[in-house]
Amino acid sequence: MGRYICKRLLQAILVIFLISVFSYFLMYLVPGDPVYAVLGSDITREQYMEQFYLMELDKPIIIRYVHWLTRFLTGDFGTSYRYSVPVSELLAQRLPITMYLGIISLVISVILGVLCGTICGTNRGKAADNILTVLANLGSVVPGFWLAVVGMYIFSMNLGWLPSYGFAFPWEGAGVAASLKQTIMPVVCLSVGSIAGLTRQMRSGMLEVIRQDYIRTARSKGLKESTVVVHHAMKNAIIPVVTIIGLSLRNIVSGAVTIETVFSITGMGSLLVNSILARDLPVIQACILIIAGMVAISNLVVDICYGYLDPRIRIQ
Amino acid sequence: MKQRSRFSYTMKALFSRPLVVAAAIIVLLFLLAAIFAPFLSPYDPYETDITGALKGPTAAHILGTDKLGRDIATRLMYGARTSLLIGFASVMISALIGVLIGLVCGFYGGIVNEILSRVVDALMSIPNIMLAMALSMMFSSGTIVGLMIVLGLATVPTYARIMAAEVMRIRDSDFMVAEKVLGMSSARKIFSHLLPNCISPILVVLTANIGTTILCESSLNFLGLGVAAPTASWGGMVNEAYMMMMLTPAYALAPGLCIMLLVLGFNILGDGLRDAIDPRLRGTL
Repeated sequence: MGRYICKRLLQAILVIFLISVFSYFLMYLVPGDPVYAVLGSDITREQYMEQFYLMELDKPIIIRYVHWLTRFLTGDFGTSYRYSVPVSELLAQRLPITMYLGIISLVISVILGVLCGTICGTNRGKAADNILTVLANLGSVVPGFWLAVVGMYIFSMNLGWLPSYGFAFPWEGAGVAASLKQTIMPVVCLSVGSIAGLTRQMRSGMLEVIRQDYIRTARSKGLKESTVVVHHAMKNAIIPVVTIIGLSLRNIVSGAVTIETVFSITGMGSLLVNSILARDLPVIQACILIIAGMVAISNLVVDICYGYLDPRIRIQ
Repeated sequence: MKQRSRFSYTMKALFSRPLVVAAAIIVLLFLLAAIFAPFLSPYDPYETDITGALKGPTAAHILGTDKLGRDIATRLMYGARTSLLIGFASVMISALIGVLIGLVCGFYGGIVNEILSRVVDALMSIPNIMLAMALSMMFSSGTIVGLMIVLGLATVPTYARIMAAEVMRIRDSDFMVAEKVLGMSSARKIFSHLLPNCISPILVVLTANIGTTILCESSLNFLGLGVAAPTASWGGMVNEAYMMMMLTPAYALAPGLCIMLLVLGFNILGDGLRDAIDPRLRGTL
């Protein structure tokens, strides 16, 4: 197990390094002069040269990358072109909001996905299975932004139950009830896709497991059906589900991009959209590196859990 | 002869299920609407008429008109054109590049595969839509072709990974050993023998990926990072419409339903294809 963890850890470090290389070099492939991108095109020759040397554009890109990475590792993510404040400050405001909504969505997705998948798998072909399978199929094709728009139309515009924009933490001024109301719709929109994906995965896992010999043995021992399902079937069916939790996190973060835009939530997703529209390179670099890094780390954790749950994986 | 009979067997298995037939019909209808849009609608998708803007459904405009007075139903058909063109083309681009990379890595294995796997891991850690957003800055998008390239490149890692795994699975089978004994060149081994044996899983992923690509495309268009303004796109229509939903709900609802239906169609076709190729999996997903 120790060797397996070491190997995966090394791989994860390499992956994060590659992400940093990618997000840095990508930005230098963007057409346009980076100096003009910072200062605008209405500048004097002296201003141009000053900025040119400040950004080390006279040095090779490898050296610039090394300097950027060293600064990044010490927490200096550069200064936003658009807001003219340190990127780290922007992220400190935005990242917690996306994390908060994302983690709630992930927890809900995993619980509901496993539950629905188990119901489907144990009631194959019955009404519950059919209904849930249809819903799971629909849930995996509905565009998050459209779901958000429809939810806003029904619950904000027509019924007036939920606010149509904004977000505040429960511990902030507006209070717990107001925050909860603002959280419901974004969280639902963020989780629908993942719930659907996890349900499908869990269902197929259950169907695979339920016909194994050890399930028949457990039943023939006279165990209660609930014991068979929970202790024997679910335990094994859940293993492949664990591997796609990393994928679910990725989907939830993707969803945040559009859903935060619809609900005017000032999180990381809407920050990224606005930065891309404004060509705000330092912010884009930091956003991509942090989000991809989080996904890579969650994949590492998932893989270690997987190795723990399924000893066969460790040896491969 | 053998190949042909296997193909016809797969097709027969595929279309023996009513659900798959229904999905095929949905996709076909969208295709027809996209191709024959100019003949099916009397309206010009770009001609604006401010005096007739934001009207609800009438006999002349079955879904009403948008904020510039253009017929929504017509715009939907032209939007199908955008989505389908981008869906097909970008899947082709990514499959072509991804399959080549995967073939080489799977075939040579060892250090080549190790390096590639980490690069693919790194790229796949970046959510698809974000990768596409970042790429859209480079390939000065706003055109359909630009978006095809962007979405195509963003999904290359998926294909590379599947292909590499598939090649590694059959690399050590007896017929590959026989080829080694016969002294075949690597190129011939890869293209004449490995590729045809890996094609079916790629085909399955390809079909389902048209759907996910269309989802990604509509998100980009919704955010205003896709095709430029006058070109009709479903995501763009939802974006124009959602602030005015109290006036004309159909304007925002219809494009979303179109996205769902079309993507669902491709997903069911993909699932059906997988079941037809590998009948053991039937009904488990």
